[in-house]
Amino acid sequence: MVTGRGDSPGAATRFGGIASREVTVGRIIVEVMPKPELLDPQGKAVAGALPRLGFDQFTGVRQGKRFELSVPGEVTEEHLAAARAAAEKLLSNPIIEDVVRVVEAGE
Amino acid sequence: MKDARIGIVTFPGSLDDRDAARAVRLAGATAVPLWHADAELHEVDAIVLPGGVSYGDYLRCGAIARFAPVMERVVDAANGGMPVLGICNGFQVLCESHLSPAR
Repeated sequence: MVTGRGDSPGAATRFGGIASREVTVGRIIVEVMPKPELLDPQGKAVAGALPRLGFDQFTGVRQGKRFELSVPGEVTEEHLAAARAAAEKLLSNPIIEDVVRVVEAGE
Repeated sequence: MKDARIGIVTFPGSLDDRDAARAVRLAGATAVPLWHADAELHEVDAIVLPGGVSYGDYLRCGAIARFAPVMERVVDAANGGMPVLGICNGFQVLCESHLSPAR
C-alpha cells in the first residue's frame, strides 16, 4: 500500500479537497507469463541478443507482463478476487498465457 | 455480390477500413461502415474486420478491440452463420474473440 502526499492540484481535486493532503492508494500486482510449454519467440529473440552484448550467462529468456492495479484505500479480498477475474478475462489470454501471480504490492 | 451489404468495422487504430470498403465496392457490393462503439450491425450480410493497429496493439493485438460493443453482435452473427472476414489485425481480433483458433 502506498501513502503519499498529493501535492498536485489534480490530487486535491480528485479526493474532494480534503484538509490533509495524505492520500492512500492500494496496489495489486498481476504477473502474466507465456505458458511454459509454448515457444516464446519474443523471449527467444531477447535471449539471442544478450550474448551479442557480452551477457553469455543466460541459457534462456521468457518475457511476460507485470500489471499494477490501483484501488482507493486498502486492498481487500474483494479487490484481489476482482483482480484475479480481470486477469483471466482481459489481462491474459488463457490459451497461451498463465496468470502466475496476483498479490498486494509489497508482499 | 450485387446488392450485398458488407459491414466494415472501424476500431480506434484501425487503418485499413477504407481500403476494405473500397475492395467491397470494387467487388460490386455496398460497403457499410460499422463503428466499434455502436452495437448495431445495420442489416449487413457479412462483416469485415480490417487491418491496422487497433488500440495501438496494446496488451495483446486485438485483445481490447475484442470487447468493443459491436463485437458482441459480430460474435452472435458469426455463430449464427454470418460470414466474417478478419484481415491482419482483424484476424487477431477474431482469435481473441475465440472465433478463430489461436495457437
